[in-house]
Amino acid sequence: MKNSCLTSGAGRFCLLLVAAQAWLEGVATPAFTRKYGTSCVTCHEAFPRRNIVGEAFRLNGYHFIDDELYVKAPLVELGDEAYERLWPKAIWPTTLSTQLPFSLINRFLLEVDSDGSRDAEVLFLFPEEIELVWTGTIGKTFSYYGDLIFIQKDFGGNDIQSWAQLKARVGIHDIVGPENLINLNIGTVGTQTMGLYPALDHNNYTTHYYQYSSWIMPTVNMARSGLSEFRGNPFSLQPQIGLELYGFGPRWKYAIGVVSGDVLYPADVAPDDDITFVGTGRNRGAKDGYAQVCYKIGGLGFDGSDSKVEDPTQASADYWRDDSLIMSAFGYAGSAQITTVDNAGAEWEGDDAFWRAGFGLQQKYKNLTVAVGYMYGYDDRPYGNLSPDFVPSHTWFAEATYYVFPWLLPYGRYEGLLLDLPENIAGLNPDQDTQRVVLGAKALVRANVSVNLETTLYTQGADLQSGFDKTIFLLFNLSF
Amino acid sequence: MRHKAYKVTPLLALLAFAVPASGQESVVEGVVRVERAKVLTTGAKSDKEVVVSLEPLETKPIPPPQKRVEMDQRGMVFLPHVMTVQVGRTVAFLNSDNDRHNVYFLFEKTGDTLDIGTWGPGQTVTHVFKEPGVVVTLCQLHLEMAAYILVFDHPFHTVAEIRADTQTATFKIPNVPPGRYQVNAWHKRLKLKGQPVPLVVQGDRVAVPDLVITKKQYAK
Ligand SMILES: [Cu+2]
Repeated sequence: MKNSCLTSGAGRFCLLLVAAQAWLEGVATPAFTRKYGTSCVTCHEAFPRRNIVGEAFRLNGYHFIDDELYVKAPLVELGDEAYERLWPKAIWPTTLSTQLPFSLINRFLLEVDSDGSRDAEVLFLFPEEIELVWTGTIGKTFSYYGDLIFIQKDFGGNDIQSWAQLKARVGIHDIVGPENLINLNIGTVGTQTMGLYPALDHNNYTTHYYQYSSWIMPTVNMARSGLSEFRGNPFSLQPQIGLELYGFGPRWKYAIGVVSGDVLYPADVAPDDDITFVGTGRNRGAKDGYAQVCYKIGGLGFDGSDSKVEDPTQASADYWRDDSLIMSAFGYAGSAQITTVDNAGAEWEGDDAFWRAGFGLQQKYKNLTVAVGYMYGYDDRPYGNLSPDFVPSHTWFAEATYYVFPWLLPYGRYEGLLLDLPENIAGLNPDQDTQRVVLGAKALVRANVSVNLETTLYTQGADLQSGFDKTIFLLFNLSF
Repeated sequence: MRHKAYKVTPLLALLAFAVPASGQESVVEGVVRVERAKVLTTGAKSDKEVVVSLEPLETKPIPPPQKRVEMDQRGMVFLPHVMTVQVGRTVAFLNSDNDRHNVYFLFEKTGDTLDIGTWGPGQTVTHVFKEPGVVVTLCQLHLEMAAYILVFDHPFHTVAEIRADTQTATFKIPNVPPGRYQVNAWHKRLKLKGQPVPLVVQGDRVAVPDLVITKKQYAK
């Protein structure tokens, strides 16, 4: 049985704000390289991070423009095309790929504690994750994505906990109106839209999550709180179960979603159950909502258009390049139920209404990519009857990546989280601001095999994050 | 069977020194046989093509044809996969996909590379090769894409296709003026067994003794 800090435990790491390693990935999909007989780098500048061709492929419901030419694996017809003309007297025909739609992603993580803050100097997470991914298309109208991820996680040098989690999503494309305008995702949504594009954990090359997307409102230390139970707001920018509408044009894209909210399994603790669905929410009447919009100046279109070039001799053949500026805005609004039970057994229940709003920019120029982002948060009453105070939050990041070789990308990120926490709650440290530098490099040993070497240095709040501060992470990732 | 080529070679070599270099043009034909190997003949990048060339030993430069040759990029595949071209002839690189492609040469002889550009749907870029040799043709946007362009400083070359069942390819090179030549075969994985074959061209039709291609270790 696992221990959930949010509801009962009083472990030292319950004060941690930030889930440190990516564990919700599962977007590099070798099944597509088999279907199209093409290299990973056609769509990924450094998997799982997609390049603009891969982004257009994803938005188009896992299709390239006119891609019947590209498919190398033959298709099975579930009805000849002629049946389209017979509808409604016959079932509308469609196709399936003859390739099995499965991929496996294998992550092996070695952690080295360089400052003696952990019990063990070296920790093996072999494997850290095994991800079974299934994804594909059913004709042009439907797409599907799912993954089953087996996870081992140490939460900053603690005992390893393991569990499995599932995601599943179906896309319905070009439902009504002009091409690409109205598409619908049903299931686990938000992997690519919950947050600022393109600063998304599911499209990233670092092993650490962004702080702005992974931070969770600090919980109280049960031992010092005088409570027997505390359930805080479990929100972080993780995928959730719901519906999402999205659309795109050459220069813009939008996504707007309704999700169950108030998730049962926060991203910074191992779930109580052995197998969970990512982003399952409490059964309640209220739903949360989010929206993401992007606008792009220069470069290829989001829809894969604008691929003609003015001067072929000047156009770059580097698949990771796309000289352009992308502006992105994001908002989320929802509520979570706060529960406190004191040692006398008195229970209090109420809602924390909260919202987030962020803005970000990404500039690509030749081999360099720089991005900045800021997100403001407002939580109306995250500590329930313990404090009437609202909590404002500020998170930000600035990052850069540079392609030294097509297979070698050093990167750096500076990011911070500033919280205005209530001063007078027993068991809650009111000063939990953190700032950190994430430094590392990713090497593509092959197009589908990578090694990350990465470390995190806290410039503020190092004592709160001693299990992560100055820890060296070596991640080996093999996808096939 | 596979020593047949050797048996006729000395005879041809003798003949080669006794032939006058004038008269009507010939058709040179023959068969390439695959030995101790099996060539895959299906798929976008199969091994079915073999290039046969006749290198003139008495140099009388022939200007390249005016008409350009084309290499397409369609369905993320170079078409054709193997192509021959004469030095100085224009090669047009097309893009029939709804996506960008790039053309990047690796000159086998020198190891030099040349990126001639990246372009989109319906666009074309031309290139003229100035040196003979094997040019591996790549697209840096789609790393699996590859083609082979064999550049010759004469017009006597052809791409023949190996049949799946017989593992042989028949070839025919027309309009060959009389004279002394050296017959060579190129395949992307296999090598010509033995040395290039001396050939005297005279009369209507000239039959080349069977050419054998095989794995490198058996080609000596
Ligand atoms: Cu290409």
